[in-house]
Amino acid sequence: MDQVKRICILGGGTAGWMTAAALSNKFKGLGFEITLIESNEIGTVGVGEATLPHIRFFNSALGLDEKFVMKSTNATFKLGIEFCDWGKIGDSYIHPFGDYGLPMPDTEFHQLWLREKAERGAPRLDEYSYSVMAAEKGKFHFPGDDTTQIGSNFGYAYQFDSSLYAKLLRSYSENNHVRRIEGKVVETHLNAESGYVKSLSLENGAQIEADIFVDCSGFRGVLIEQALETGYEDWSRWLPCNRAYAVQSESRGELLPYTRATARKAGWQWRIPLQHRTGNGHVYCSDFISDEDALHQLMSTLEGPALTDPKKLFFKTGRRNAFWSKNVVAIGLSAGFLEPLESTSIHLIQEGITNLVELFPSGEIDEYDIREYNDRMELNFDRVRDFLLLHYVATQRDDSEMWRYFRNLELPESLTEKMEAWQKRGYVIPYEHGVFLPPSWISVMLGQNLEPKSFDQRVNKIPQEELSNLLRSIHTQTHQKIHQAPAHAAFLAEYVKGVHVAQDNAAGS
Amino acid sequence: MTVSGPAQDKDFTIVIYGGCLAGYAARAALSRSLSPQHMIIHIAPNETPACAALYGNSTGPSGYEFFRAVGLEEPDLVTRTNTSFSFGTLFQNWPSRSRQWVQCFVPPFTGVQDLAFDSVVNFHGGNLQSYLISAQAALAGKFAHPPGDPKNPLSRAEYGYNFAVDDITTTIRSKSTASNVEHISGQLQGVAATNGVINHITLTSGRSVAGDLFIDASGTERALMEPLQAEFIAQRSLRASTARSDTPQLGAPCKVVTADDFGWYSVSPLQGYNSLLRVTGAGEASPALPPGFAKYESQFDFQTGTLKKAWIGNCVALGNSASVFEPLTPAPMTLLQRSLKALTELMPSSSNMEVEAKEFNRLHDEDTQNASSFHRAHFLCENAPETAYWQGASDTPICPRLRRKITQFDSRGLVVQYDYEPFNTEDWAILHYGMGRRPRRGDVRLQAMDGSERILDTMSSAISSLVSRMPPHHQYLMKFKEYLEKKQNDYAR
Ligand SMILES: Cc1cc2nc3c(=O)[nH]c(=O)nc-3n(C[C@H](O)[C@H](O)[C@H](O)COP(=O)(O)OP(=O)(O)OC[C@H]3O[C@@H](n4cnc5c(N)ncnc54)[C@H](O)[C@@H]3O)c2cc1C
Repeated sequence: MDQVKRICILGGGTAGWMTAAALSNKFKGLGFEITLIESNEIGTVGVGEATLPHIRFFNSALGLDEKFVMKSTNATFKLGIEFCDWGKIGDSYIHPFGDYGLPMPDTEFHQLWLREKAERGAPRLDEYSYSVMAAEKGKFHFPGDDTTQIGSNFGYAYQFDSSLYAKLLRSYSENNHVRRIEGKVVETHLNAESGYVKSLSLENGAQIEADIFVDCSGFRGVLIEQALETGYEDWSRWLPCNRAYAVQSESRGELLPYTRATARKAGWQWRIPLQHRTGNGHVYCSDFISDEDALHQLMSTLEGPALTDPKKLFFKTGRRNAFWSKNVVAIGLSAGFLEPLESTSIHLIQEGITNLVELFPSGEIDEYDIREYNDRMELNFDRVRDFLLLHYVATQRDDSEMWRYFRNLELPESLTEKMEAWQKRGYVIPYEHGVFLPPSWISVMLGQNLEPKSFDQRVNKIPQEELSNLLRSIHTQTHQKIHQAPAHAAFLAEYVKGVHVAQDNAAGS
Repeated sequence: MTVSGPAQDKDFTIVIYGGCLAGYAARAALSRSLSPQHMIIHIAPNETPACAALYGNSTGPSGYEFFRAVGLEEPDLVTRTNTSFSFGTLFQNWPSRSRQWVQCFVPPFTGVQDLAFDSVVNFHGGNLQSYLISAQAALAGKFAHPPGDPKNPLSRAEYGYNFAVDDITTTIRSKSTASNVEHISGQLQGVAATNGVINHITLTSGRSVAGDLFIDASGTERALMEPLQAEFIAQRSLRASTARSDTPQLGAPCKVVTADDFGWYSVSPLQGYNSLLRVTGAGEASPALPPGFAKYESQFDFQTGTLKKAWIGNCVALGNSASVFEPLTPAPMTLLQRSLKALTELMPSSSNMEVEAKEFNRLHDEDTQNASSFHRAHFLCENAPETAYWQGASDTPICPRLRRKITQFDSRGLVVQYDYEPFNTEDWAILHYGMGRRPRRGDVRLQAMDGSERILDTMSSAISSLVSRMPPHHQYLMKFKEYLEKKQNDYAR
C-alpha cells in the first residue's frame, strides 16, 4: 500500500476539532487530505469545560494567542480543583497545579513539613502552596520564570466553553484546508480481506473514502465499536458512576479561579465558573440513587437560576480494548470514559493526538505503530483510573451505600501500594510517564486525611531551629506574594480587554 | 553544625558488612545524610574482594553526584586519586572488525522543528556521531569542562569519570570520619536470623554485632543475603582478568572497549597508568594481552545476574551483592548509586520495614531490568563471532521491554522509554545508531522539514572547529590539577 494520504475524522466535538486542528498544523505541506464529518442532527455531548495545564501547550503549538482563545471561549483561569466533603463531610481542600514550598536540596518539601508538624506543629501544607493560597483568596497571576522561586512553581489551565473552543478550532482547521462535511454516517464499509474501513456512507448518499479514520464520534464509537467491534474494558467495578445531569446557571458571587467538586451520597457534583455563566453537573451511580433524586440534588444546590434545561448523560467507565485497531484510531469519548473528577478527558484527547502525530504511518499502516499507540494510551488511562479511584477510597465516609461500597472494594495493587507507602512515611511512589505527579497525589491523600505516620529520615539531619525558620520564611513569602497578587476577576478582565473576537470567532491559522 | 534530637524513640543501628566500594560508599553516604540517631557499624574484611573490579572503572555523568554523596568533590578526585575525565566509551570492532562509535554522554537532545534530533540526522543520511561534541572530543583526545553558556557547542556535552575502584575506596575511607560510625576490621563467621530477620552476625574474632538494619556489601559472595535464602537469578558464567600498564601521559578522555573472538577488553586511562579489564567465558585461559600490558594481575570467575529481591527482612544488598553485570557500560556504578539513594530515602526508623522493602525491591527490579536491557542490546547483532563467548551472549534471553524498544527503533526510529530508566533516550539512540541499526521508516513530518540540513551543517562545523581548539585531556587535567593544588596551598596558608 502507498503512503497513507487521506485522513477522515468522524465527529466534530472537542475531540474531532482538536484532532483536525493539530493534524492540519503538524502535517502542513505534506499533501494530506483531511476531511471531518459531523452531524448537526446528532450534535455533541456538550459538556467538558474544565481542563489541565497541558492544554496551553496544545494551543501554543497551534500558534493560538492565549488572550484570543480566552476571549473567544469565555474562559477563566484555573489553578486547581476544590474538593468538598470527600474525606469527611465538611472537609475541603484544593488540588493545585503546582508544587508545595520550594525545591529542597536533599528531600521533598513536604517531608520537612511533616517533621515540623509532628514536633512543633505547623500550618496546613496548603499554606506553603502559592497556587492553593491564590485560589483560596480568589487571586490570579501568571507564574514567574524562575521555578525555584515562590510564585513560579505552579501551572494553570482554563475553564472554558468547550463548544466555543470547538468552534474556534473548526475555523482554524478550515483555514488550514480541512474539509468539513455535514451529514450523518449511516453505514461503514469494510474491506473484505483486510477488515479495514474502506468508506463511510452518509445519509444523503455520499461516500467518503480514506486511508485512515479517526473515530471521534463520541460514546457511540461508530467506527471503533459499531464497525470494528473492538470491545470495551469495563471499569465500573472501580468507578461505578454511570450517569450525569448537566445544567448551566447564572454566575453568582466572586469569579473563582478553580473548579469545585463536591462529594454527594451517590456521586459528586461539579461547579465550573466561566466568564459569563457557571457550568454544573451531578455525576452519579444509578445503583445508589434514582434519576429523579439525582436531578433534585443538582437543581436544589445551584447558586444561580438555571439557564438551560438539565441534560441527562449515560456512560460506562472504562476504555476500549484497543484504541487503534486496523485503520481506525479512537480519540475522545469513543476511546473510553473516565469521569471528569480531575478534568482528564480533554487531556487524554491531547495525549491521543500527540501520540497519533508521533506514530503516524509513514508509508502503510504498520502493526508496530498500532501496538505502540495502544501501549502508550493504555498506560495513560490506567494511571488516571488509579488516581480517580484514590478520591473514593481515601475517605472516612460511610454515610451512604455508595461510600460503603468503596470501603469493601478490592483495589488495584498499584494503588494499594501507593497509599501504604504514603501512610507509612510520606513517600509517593513516583512514575515518569503519566499525568499526575507526586504533588497531586500528596494533595489528595493529605486533603482526604491520609496522614503519614512518619517521614523521610534525612530530614532529621536539619537542626530544628533551622527547619522552623526555613518553613516560616517560605510561609511568610508565600503570603506576601499572594497579598500582592490581583483578584482573578480583575486580572482576567484586564487581560482580555480590547481583544477583538469576530462574531463567528474565526481563528487565524 | 549542631544536630538536634530527631523525632524518634530510640537509636537505630545500621550494620554494613563489606570492605569494598559499596560498603564504604554506603557508610559515607548514610552517615552524611542521616542524623546521629542512626548509628552505623561498618565491618570491613581486610582483603578487598576481587569482584570489586566489576564496578568497571567508569561512571556516567551521574558519577559527579555519586562522589559528592560519599564525600568526594571533584577537586578531591583530581588531586587525591588517579581519576580522569570521561566523555564516554569508545567501542571498537564491536562486534565486527570495522564498527566503532563513542557511546558518549550528552544532555537531552534539542529537537529540530519538533522532531527527534537523531531521526533528523538519520533522515539526511548523516552520522549521529558527527553532531555529538563529546564523541568528537573523545576521538580527538581532547577535554574541557562543559560551560553553562548554551551558545557554546561544548555545553552539549556531559562527562563522567574513569577511576580505579581501590583508589577511590581508600579515599572515601580516609575522608569518612563521621562520629556516628564505628569501624570494625573483621571477617564474617555466621549470621543469626529468625524468620528471615537477622538478629546479629558473628565475626571470626568471636564478637557478635547486633543491629536493626543490615547492609550486605560483601560483593558477589552475598555473605548476608545467602543465609537468608535470597534467590539469585544467574545469567552467564564469565571470567574477568585485570592488568595495568604505566603510562607517562594520560590517554583520551574515554574508556576504550574492544571486541575480539574471546569476548572483550576495556582500557581505562587513569593518571599514571592504564587499567585493563578483560571478560571472557568462565574457565577459559586468558588470551594474550594487548600491547603495553605485561601480565595479568588478577583473574576470577563470576556469574552475572541479579537478586530477585535485594531487601529481605532487615537486610539490604547493595552493589555487586545485589546485581552483577559485565562492566561493559557504567551500569554497575549507576545501579550502586541509585540503590544507595533509594536506601537513604527509604531508611526505616523502626523494625517495621515491609513497605520500605517492597518499594526498594520494586526499584531494584526496574533498574536491573532496564540496565540488563541496555547491556543486552549491545549483543543484538548478526555478525558476531561464532565463538563461545559471543554465542553465550546472543543466547541470553531478550526481555519484552527490550523487544519493544528494538521493534520500535527498527520500525520507525522511535526510542521507547520506561519510567526513570538508568539509561536515557540519548544513550539508547547513540547505541542503536552506533551498532549500525537503521530504522526502516521515519516520522512523516521529516518530509516537510525546512532548512534542517543547514542547521546540521552549521552544527558539525562548529563542533569540528571547537574540538580542534580544545586542549588535550592530559594537558587540561594537569593544568586543572595545578590550579586546584595552588588554590589548596593558598587556602592552607
Ligand atoms: C458529564 C460529563 C462531564 C464532563 N466534563 C469534562 C470536563 O470537565 N473536562 C474534560 O476534559 N472533559 C469532560 N468531559 C468529557 C468531554 O466532554 C469529552 O471528552 C469531550 O467533549 C469530547 O467529546 P467527543 O468529541 O469525543 O464526543 P462528542 O462531543 O459526543 O462528539 C461526537 C461527534 O461525533 C458526531 N457523530 C456521532 N455519530 C455520528 C454519525 N453517525 N455521523 C456523523 N457524525 C456523528 C457528532 O455529531 C459529534 O460531532 C465530560 C464528559 C461528561 C459525560
